[in-house]
Amino acid sequence: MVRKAPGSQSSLRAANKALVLQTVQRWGGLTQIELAAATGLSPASVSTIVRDLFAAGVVETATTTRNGRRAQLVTVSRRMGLAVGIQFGRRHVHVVLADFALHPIAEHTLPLPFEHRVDTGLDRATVLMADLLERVGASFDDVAGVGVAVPAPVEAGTGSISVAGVMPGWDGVDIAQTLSKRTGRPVYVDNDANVGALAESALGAGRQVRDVVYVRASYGVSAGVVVSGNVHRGYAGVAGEIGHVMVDPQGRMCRCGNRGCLDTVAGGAALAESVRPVLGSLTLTDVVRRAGDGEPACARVVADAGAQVGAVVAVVAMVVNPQVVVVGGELAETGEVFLGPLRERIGHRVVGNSVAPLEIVPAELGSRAEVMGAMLLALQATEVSVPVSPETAVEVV
Amino acid sequence: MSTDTKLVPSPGPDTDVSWGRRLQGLGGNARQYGIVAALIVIIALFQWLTGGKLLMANNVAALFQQNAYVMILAIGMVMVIVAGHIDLSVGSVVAFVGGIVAVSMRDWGMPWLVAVLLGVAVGALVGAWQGFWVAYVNVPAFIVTLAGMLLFRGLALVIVGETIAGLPPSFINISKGSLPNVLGFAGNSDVVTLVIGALAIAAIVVSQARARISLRKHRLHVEPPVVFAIKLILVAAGVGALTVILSFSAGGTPIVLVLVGALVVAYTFVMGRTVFGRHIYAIGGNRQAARLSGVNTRKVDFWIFVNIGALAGVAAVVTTARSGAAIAAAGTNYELDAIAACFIGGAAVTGGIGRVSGAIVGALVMGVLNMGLSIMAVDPSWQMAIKGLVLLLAVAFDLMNKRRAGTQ
Amino acid sequence: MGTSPESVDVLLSLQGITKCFGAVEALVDVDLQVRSHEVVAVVGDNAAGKSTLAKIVAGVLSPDAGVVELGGHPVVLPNPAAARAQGVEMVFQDLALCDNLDVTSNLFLGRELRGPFGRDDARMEEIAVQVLDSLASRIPSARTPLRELSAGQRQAVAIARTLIGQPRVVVLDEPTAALSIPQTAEVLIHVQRLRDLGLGVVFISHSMTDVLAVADRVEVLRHGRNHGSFDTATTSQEELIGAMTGARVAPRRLQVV
Repeated sequence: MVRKAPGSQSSLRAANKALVLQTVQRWGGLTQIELAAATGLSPASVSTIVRDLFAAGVVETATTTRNGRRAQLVTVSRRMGLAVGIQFGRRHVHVVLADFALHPIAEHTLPLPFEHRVDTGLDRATVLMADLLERVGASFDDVAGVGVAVPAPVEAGTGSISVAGVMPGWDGVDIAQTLSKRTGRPVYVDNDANVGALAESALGAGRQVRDVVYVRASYGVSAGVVVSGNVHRGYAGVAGEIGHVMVDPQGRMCRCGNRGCLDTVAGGAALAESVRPVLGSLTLTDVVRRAGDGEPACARVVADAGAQVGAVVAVVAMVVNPQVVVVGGELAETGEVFLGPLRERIGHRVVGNSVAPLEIVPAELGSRAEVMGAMLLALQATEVSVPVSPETAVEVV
Repeated sequence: MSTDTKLVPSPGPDTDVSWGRRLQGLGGNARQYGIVAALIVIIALFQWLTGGKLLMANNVAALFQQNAYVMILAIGMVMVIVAGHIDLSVGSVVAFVGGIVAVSMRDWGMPWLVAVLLGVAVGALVGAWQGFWVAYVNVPAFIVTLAGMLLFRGLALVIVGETIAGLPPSFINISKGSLPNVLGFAGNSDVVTLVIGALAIAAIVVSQARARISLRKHRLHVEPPVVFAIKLILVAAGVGALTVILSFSAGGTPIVLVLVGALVVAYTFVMGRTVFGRHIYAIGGNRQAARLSGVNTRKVDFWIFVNIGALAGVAAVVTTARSGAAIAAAGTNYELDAIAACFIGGAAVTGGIGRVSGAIVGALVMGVLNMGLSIMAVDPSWQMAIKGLVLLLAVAFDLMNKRRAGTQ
Repeated sequence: MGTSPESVDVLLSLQGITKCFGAVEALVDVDLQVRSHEVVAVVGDNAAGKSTLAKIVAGVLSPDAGVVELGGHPVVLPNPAAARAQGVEMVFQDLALCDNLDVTSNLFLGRELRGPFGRDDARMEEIAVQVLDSLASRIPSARTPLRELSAGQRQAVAIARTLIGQPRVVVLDEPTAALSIPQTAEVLIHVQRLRDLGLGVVFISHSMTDVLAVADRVEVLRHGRNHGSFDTATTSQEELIGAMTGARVAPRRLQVV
C-alpha cells in the first residue's frame, strides 16, 4: 500500500491514479471491486480513475463474472497483442504472458518432478496459459505466438529434441506441433541457452554487440552462440552444447551416452552430489544459496565448477571470438564465487587481441533471460517488431 | 476467482457506478441500515395509523419501560445464537429469580440493592448450571434449556406460590421511575434528558470520527465524506428526536432506558472489540476450525450461558419491579420475544452472524408493533398473529438480501 | 536415505510412534525426521496412517507409544495450542477456516493480539498484510470475508496462517487435493518458500506428481508402518507406488547427471 502524500486535490488525484495503475500492474488483472479493496479507495473513485486511465489508453476493461455477479475487469493495456513465453526447467515450468513490448503482464511457475514427461509438461503449460489469459481477460486468439525454451538441443526442422537421453520422456516428440494443436496458436521451440542468448543480445548485456556467447550454468551447462547478430544453431541444433564436451576421459557416465562430460563435473546435480558426504542431501538451489552465504564446501564446489566451465568456454571463445561472454543460470546467482574463477580461467586461456579485451559479464536479465528469449523467438517468427528499451525487464510480482 | 468467465471486451468502463455498487461501498453495514430503515418505516406507519399517538412523549417512555426486558434478554440471546446455541429457559429463569428477589426483600429483609445483586448472581448461577451441561457434558443447548424451562418454572411456582407483593417503592422505581429532575425544566422539557441526549450524540459523533481516522491511518477504505456526514446527521436527528420527545414525558428519562443503554454500549464493545467476542463469532462460524485453532470452545460456551443467566437476572429485576410483585407466571414467552428480536435483527439461524445493535432494533420493531397495535385496540389474539407474520417476513426478506449480495 | 551429518538441524523427530483406535492399529512403530530447509513427503494408500501421523505431530492426537522430539528435546503435545507454542503449525485438510470472519481474523484465530482495551485489530492487520506479502499471495485485501475467496486463495490463507506463530515445522495435510493446476502451482510455490525460509515441511499427499515436484525425501507408510524412504532426486513414481502397494519393484538405476 502506498502512502498518499498530503497536498492539493490534484496531487492527491494524481497519486491515487498512480496507485490504481501500480496495483493493476502488480496483479495483472483485477475487478473494480478488488481494486477498491486493494487500494483502500472507494468504488466510485476507482470507477472514475479507471475511466480516466482508459481514456488515456493505459488500461483496458472487460466484463466478466466473479462469484456469480457481473464485474468490470481492469487490465494493463495491451499494445496490439500478447506473447507467451514458456520455459521448461528440470524441475519446473515457467509461463509468462507479456505484451509486444515484452512487459510481463502475468505469470505462473509450477514445480514439476525431475524427469517430467512431455505430455504432462505440455498439458500443464497449456492449462497455466489458459488461466493467465483468463486472469487478464484475454483469449487464446489474442496471443500472437508462443515461444518454448527447453534444456536440450532442438532441431529446427522437426521441432524435437535432437540428442536422445538429455530429456528422457521428451524424445521423438514434435514439441511445437503438439503444443500448437492444444493451444491453436503458432509455437516455436528452441534450446534454453539459445533463447537466453537471443534475449541477452537483443535486450540485455549483449545488446550493443554483434558477437556474443551466452553461458547458462544450471543443472546442465550449455551455451548460446550469437554470430553477426544471429543465433547460430548448427545443423542439428546442437551448437553450444558445451555441457557434453568431454573434460575427463575416465569420468562418470553421462545421460547423453558419453562419459566425463562437463555436466557430470560442473552441472548442478554433480555439485549437489559432491557436497553430499559433508552436508547431506541438498538441491541446486540450496548449494547456490549457501555458496552465496559463504559456506565453504558449497563455495568451493561452485568455484571449481566456475573454473572448469571457464576452461571449456575459453575454447568456444577462441573459435567464435565474441566481444562479450554473458553468464547466466542459477550458478551465476552466486556472483563472483562462480564468475571469478570462470573469468580467471578464460583470461589465461584466451589470446588477447588488440581491438578490445574480452568482457565476461553476468546476465542482465537474470533468471528471466530464457523466458523472455522464448517470447522474443515467437514474436520474431511472427514478424512483429519489438520496441526495444533498456527498461524492458519489469518485475511483475 | 470465477471459473465461469464470459469475457466481453466492453468499449469502456461503466460511466455510472450502479446503486448496487454504491451500496456495497457502505460495506457490511448495508444490512444494518436496512433493518434500521425497516424500523423507521414501521414507526412512520404506526404513527400514521394511530393518528400521531405513537410518538406521544408518555407512549415513547412507556415503550422503553414495557420492552426493556426484551432488549436485556436479546443482548444475551444474540450471543448465544451467534455461537450456534439457543436458550429456551430465560422466561422461566426470570420468574424464578424474580421470586427469589421478592422473597429476599419481603422475608429476609434485605435492602433492595442487595436483593438486586443477589438476583443477578442467582441468574449467573443458573447460567453456570446450564452452561456446564452444554459445554462440558455436550448436551445440546436446546435440550438443556428446554429442561431448564420446565425446571425453573417449577421452582418459581414453589417459591412464589401465586404472587409475592408488597415490595419496597425504591425497588419498584427501577422500572417505573425516571431520572430525578435535578436540572429543572426548559419550558416543559426535562433538562436532564436533553443533556443526556446531547452527550449521547456527542459520543456517537466522536467515536465515529475516531473510527474513520483510524481507518484512514491504516490506508483502508472509508466511506465517502458525504455518506459519512449524512449517516451522522440522520443518527443525530434520530437520537435528538427521541431525546426531545422523552424530555416532554411525565418523568423524563426512564431509568431502565439508562440501564439498557449502558448494557448496549458494554456488550457492543465485548462483541466487537474483545477476543471473547471474536471467539463467539468463530465458534458460530466453524466450531471445529475454532477448536483446532486453539480457541477454548468449552470455556466460551460456558461463559455465554453464565452471561445470559446474569442478564436474565437483570430482566427479572426489571420485570418484578414493573409488576410491583413477583408472579409465578411471569416471563411467559419471554424467550420467544428475545429470540424473535435477534432474528429480526439479522442473526443467522445457523450461527456466526448477528449483532447487539441488530437485536436491539429487532426488539424495538416488536415493541413498536406491540404498542401500535395496542393503541389501535387490535385484539390481542390478532396482535400475536401479526407478530408471527412479521417475524417470518422479516427473516425471509433478510435471507433474500443475503442471497442477492452473493454471500450465500 | 542420504547421510545426515550433525551440522544440519533436525527440527522434528518421531521415534517408534504407535497409535491404536480400539482394535485398529493406525500407526505401528513409525519413525520420521524432518530437517531445516527440508520438505519431507509422507505418502501411502488410504488408511496407511498419514493423517493420523500428521495429527500426532500437530497435537490433535496423542501417541500411545513413542517419542516426539522438537529441536532435539522430547516434548508432549496434548493439544494444538501446545504444538503451536512449540513451533509446529498445521494446515488441515479442510483448512479449519471460519467463513464468517475476514482474512485477518482467520490468520489470528486462537491467538489474537490484545491491546489495552480488547483486541489490537490494527496491529493484527499490519502483520497479516506482511505475512500475505511474504508469500506473494494473490489476496488484494486482508479485510476480505473468507467466503468471498476462491479455493486457491483460501488455501493461501491457511498456509499464511502457519507463519503467524513463526514456527519451525509446518505440516500440510493434502494441500492440493481439491485444487486446479494454477492453484496447485501457487500452493507448491508457497511450500518452496516455506522451505527457503528455513522451515521443515511435512507434506502429506496422494499426488505423486506434486510430491516429486516439491519434496526432498519421501517416506512411504503402508498399513501404519514405515515402508521405505526415498530421495526424490533418484526415485521414480513407479518405485514409490510399488512401495505404497507392497509390490516388489526393481530399484531404478538413474545416473544423476
